Amino acid sequence: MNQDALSDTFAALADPTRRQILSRLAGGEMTVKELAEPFPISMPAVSRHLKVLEKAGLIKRGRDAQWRPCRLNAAPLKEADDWIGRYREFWTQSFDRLDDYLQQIQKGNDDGRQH
Amino acid sequence: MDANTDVSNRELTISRTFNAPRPLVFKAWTQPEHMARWWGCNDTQKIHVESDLRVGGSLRAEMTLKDGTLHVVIGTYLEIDEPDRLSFTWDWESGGLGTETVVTITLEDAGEQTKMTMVHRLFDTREMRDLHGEGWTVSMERLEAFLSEKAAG
Repeated sequence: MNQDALSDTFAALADPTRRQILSRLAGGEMTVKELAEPFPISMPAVSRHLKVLEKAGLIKRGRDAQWRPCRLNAAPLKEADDWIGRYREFWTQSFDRLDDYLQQIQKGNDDGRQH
Repeated sequence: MDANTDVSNRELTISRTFNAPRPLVFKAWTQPEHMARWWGCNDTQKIHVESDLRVGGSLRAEMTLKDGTLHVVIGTYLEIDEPDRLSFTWDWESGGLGTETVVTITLEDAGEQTKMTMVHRLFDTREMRDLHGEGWTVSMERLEAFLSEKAAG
């Protein structure tokens, strides 16, 4: 996945309603009406969220003109998780270094007090 | 629901306990000369940090990797509460990802040691913070209106 696609994924995920929609779709296919039920927002508002999710490739929609059921497409999420994994690696390696560094400077201070 | 589909809580949290007092750990996170000694992955060869440690002040870390490539992190301090809490935005200058992320560190005493919890949130984009800003502005306006009504009544 290129970085622009990852951008789309994160932009799509940067909204609690859209994240909730995706979580619900993880349980299986749903129609727009079913998806809209728990949200205190209008059907057109839900449709707009679905468009963003579809553009980011996070959901796929059926061809049935009337119902167009939505289902989760998890592949971009996997890419996003990989990205988080890279951050985890970055910070874990940094903190290993921080651990060593904190010992070094304290050792320096202790020596200073002893002499 | 597996890790790939649970999108409700996509953030990175890492906790570590360091054998050092809390003020020192805070300094290690905030003083450029200290930060330059430990920030970066194992492939980082050279790092230069500039930091204007005040809320709204900027942070810049230039990291040169072993393969010669330069990676620059830019950020803005959001919260500075020495020696308990620090929060700043984190973005790569080269762009591409289009997402401004937020790093928050909290420090607690654990006997002689310090427990650090770092949360790197990937959803706190500038757009979302602006929305929060609007929310607060609206609340303040309502409060003002309410108080004026009270005063008039």
